Amino acid sequence: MSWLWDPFLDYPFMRMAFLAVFFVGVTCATLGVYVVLRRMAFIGDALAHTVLPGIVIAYFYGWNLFWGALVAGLITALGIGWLSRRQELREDTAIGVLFTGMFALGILMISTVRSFRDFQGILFGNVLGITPANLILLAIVAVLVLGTILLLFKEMELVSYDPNFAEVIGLNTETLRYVLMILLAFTVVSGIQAVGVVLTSALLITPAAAASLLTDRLPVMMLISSLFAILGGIIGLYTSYYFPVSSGAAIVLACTVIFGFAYTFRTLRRKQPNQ
Amino acid sequence: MLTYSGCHHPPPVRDAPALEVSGLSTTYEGSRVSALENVNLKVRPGERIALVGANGAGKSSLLKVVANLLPRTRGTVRIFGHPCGTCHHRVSFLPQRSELDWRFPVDVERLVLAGRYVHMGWLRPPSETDRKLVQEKIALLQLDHLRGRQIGQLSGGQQQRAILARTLVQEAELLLLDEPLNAVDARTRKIITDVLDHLKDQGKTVVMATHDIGRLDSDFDQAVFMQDGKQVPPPPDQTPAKHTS
Repeated sequence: MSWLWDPFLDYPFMRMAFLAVFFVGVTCATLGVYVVLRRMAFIGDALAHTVLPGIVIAYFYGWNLFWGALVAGLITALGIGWLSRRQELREDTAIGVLFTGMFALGILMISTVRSFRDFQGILFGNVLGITPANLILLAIVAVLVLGTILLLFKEMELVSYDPNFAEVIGLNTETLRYVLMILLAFTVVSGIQAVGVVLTSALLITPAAAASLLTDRLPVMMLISSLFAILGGIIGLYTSYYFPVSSGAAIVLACTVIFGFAYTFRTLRRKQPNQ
Repeated sequence: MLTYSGCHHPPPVRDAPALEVSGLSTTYEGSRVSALENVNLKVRPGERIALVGANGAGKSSLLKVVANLLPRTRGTVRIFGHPCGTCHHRVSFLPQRSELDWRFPVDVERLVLAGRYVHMGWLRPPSETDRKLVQEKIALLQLDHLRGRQIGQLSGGQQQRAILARTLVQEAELLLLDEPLNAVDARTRKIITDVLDHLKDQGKTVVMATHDIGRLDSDFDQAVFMQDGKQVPPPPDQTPAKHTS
C-alpha cells in the first residue's frame, strides 16, 4: 500500500497539488451544479477560453497570471451579461462571438512569443507545479465562492427554477445573474490552475452532471459533485505521478470515468423493478 | 430585516382600494401589438374579481403588470394606495404551471417555503413560524404525503396545488391567480375550489384569470371581460349588474 502514501510523504509538490485539487474541485463542482441545472455549460466553457488574452498580457508584463485571468474573466462575465441583456443578439450567439474572438486574440498574442512552452501550463494545466502563493489564492477563491453560495442559497435556488416568482417578491434576478457570472469567472480562473484553459469547463460540468444523475436534492447534489471532483483530482494526480501523462487531462478523464459509473448506476437502478 | 426590494414594507393607505388600475396599457418587448389597452379596474379589499376571456385576451398580462413582472407603457397601478413594486409582501402571484422549471431539484416543502421568503429577506433562515405555516398549507392542499417529493415527480394537479400552497403561505392580502383551475383533475378542482371559497371568509382580495364562466355569479363579486387586451362588455347571457367593462 506504500504506493498510496509515498507520493505525498516524499514530495511536498504532491501535497500542494492535493490541496490545490481539493480547493479547485470543491469550488468548480459546487458552482458547477448551478451551471448544469441552469443550462449554462456553454458560458462556463466560453469563460474558460476568453481569459487567455488576460493571461498573456499578464505574462508580457511579468504579473501573476492569476490576476490577468481574473480581470479578463470578470470583463467577459459582465460583457456576456450586458450583451444578452440588450437582446440585440441571442445569448448563445453573443457568447460564441466573444468566446472565439477572445480566444483567437489570446492565441495570436501567444504566437508572438518565441517559446510556446511558457503557456503550456495555462493551456493544459500544471497542478503539480502550483506555487504556495497560488495555493493561497485558490483557498481564498474557494471561501469567497462557497461563502456567497451559502449566504445566497435560497435566493439563487429560487431564481434558478422560478425567476418570475422571484421578481414578484422583489428579488432582482438580473443582479443575481451577474453575481453568478462573477462567481463563475472566479471559479474558472481557479480551475485553470488545475486543468488549464482547454479543460476547465469539464471540471465545472462533469462532476455536477454525474451528481445530478444520483440525487434530486440540491445540497446533496453539491456535496456529491464536490466528492466526485476531489476523487477525480486524486485519481488524476496518482495517474500523472506514476505514468508520464498530463495531470490536467488525467484529472478530467478520471472525472469522465466517474460520470460513466454514475450513468451506469442510474441506468441499472431504473431497470430494477419497484424503483 | 434586509428586504429584497431594499425599502421597508409600507402599511396600507387608509380607505384605499386593494387594487386600482387606471388607463393601463402595455406592450411586450419586441412586439408592436398592445397586450393591454386602456384597462381600468377598482377592487375593494375582500372582493373577488374574475378576469374572463379567451387565450390571448390579456388576462395574464394584466396580472403580470400588477405583479410587477411586465412594465407599463401608460397608466397607473396602485396596490393598497401604493405604486406597484413597493409592497411585495402584500401581493401573492400564482403563475401558470408552465412558467416553472419542474426538473429543478427541490421538493414540495422547499417550493412552498419560497412563499415565506418575502417575509425573511436576505440572509435570514426560516423561523419556526415559517415552517409551521408551510406545514399548514401543505395539509390544506392535501399534499402531506408528497412533501418530500421532487416537484417534477408530481402530477399536473399536484403541481398546481403545490404552487397554490406557496401562494397562500405568503399570507398576502391581494392574491393574483392565473388560471388555477386550468387543466386539473376533478379532485384537484374540488380541493382548489374549497380553498378559494375559504379565502373569501378570510377577507382576502382575489383577482383570478379564468376561462370558466359557469360559476361567475356564485364565486365572484365582479367579472371583467377581456378581448384583445381591452375590456369588453359582458356577453348578453351574463347578469349585467355584477359585471364591469
